[in-house]
Amino acid sequence: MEADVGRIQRAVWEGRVPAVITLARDELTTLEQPRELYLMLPRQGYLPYAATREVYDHFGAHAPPCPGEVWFEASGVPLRWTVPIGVLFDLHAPTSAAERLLPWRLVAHFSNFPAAAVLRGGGARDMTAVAAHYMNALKQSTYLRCGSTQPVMSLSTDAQRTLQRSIEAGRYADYVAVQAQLSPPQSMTNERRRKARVAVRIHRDAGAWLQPALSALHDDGHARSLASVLSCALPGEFGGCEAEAEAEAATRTVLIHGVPAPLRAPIDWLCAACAHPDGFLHVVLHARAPTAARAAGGAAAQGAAGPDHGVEAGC
Amino acid sequence: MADGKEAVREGKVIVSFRNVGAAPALRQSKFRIDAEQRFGAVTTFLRKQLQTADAESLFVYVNAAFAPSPDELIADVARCFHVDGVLSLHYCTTPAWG
Repeated sequence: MEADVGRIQRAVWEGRVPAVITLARDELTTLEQPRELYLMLPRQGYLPYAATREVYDHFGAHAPPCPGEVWFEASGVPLRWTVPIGVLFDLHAPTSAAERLLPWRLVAHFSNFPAAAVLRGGGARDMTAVAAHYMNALKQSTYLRCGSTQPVMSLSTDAQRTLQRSIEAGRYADYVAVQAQLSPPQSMTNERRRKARVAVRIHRDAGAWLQPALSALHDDGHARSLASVLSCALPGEFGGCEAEAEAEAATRTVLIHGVPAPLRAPIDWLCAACAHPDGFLHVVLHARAPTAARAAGGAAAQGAAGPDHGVEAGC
Repeated sequence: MADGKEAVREGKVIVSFRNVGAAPALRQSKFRIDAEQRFGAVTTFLRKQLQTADAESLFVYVNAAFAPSPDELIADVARCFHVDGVLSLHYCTTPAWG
């Protein structure tokens, strides 16, 4: 079980989305057309770390003379830099097999910032806002899991810097070195352990994500499943009991890291194996039924390893 | 952690504000806020109460621990982190729990 978790975590960290970035047509200010920018975007990373500097360097000379913050758009939807790249891809990449061609086509903008949809601060060369966003997400997930932010607060400055660098550069080895210090403290009482929450974010569209306040165990002590988390987070859409929730979820696509997720899997196991570096398990919900194309696209985007690293491995 | 009272009642969340450092105190500290807004609305509301200029920075922390992203839902933040049905927020003009 432990070995599985490590293996899956590593595979998930190695996942990349091939992307091609073009400059928005109406923002081109030179006669000569800049070449497209091809990048392998880490699924666990954030757009500012993975692409913003490259976009400044590559398109800067062709952009408006007084550029604002850089922002990205895919299929007409402004992308939020606060959401990990893999989640954005699972949410916004076209779902039909015909349109779903890799590389993922992104458009970079230097002006007309969509302030209603995207937070400011992530499109500058300076990455302070991105680092702050990551640390705050990590503290939130730690608070949910451990009942306080103490494991994060007691990280040394060096450990914090290593952690930030691991996210920035997508280095799994650095992340693992710090991750062990972020587990719930030994001193945590059983009472507190029972009350500890799962750190899950559910994404459905370009709007706000849902973050349910649920414990990993039911009151009677048995493990809560992914289906139960979905039914508690969206009571109007999924039935009240787990069987109903499963039936309902079968008519949709429930993705974790681009792979259709097993609904009966215990949520704490999924969190341990598949949580993002911010400590949250990001689940993407689509209204339509799972198709072979979606599953294949997800696996292709995962890039790494073979069929042996499926999320189902440890359930 | 979050037992006892419900965090969201009749679509509202009760928040209590406390000033830290050089930030001015509020005359009234508890407010009922619409649960379905984004967390950014809390900061906007607080700015109006304190009459701070847009250029001045204002940081809002939950449980003296972390600052939620302005695009999160207030209802979710409250359900996850309330204590006895109240979402406890600290605010300051310089980063405090960075």
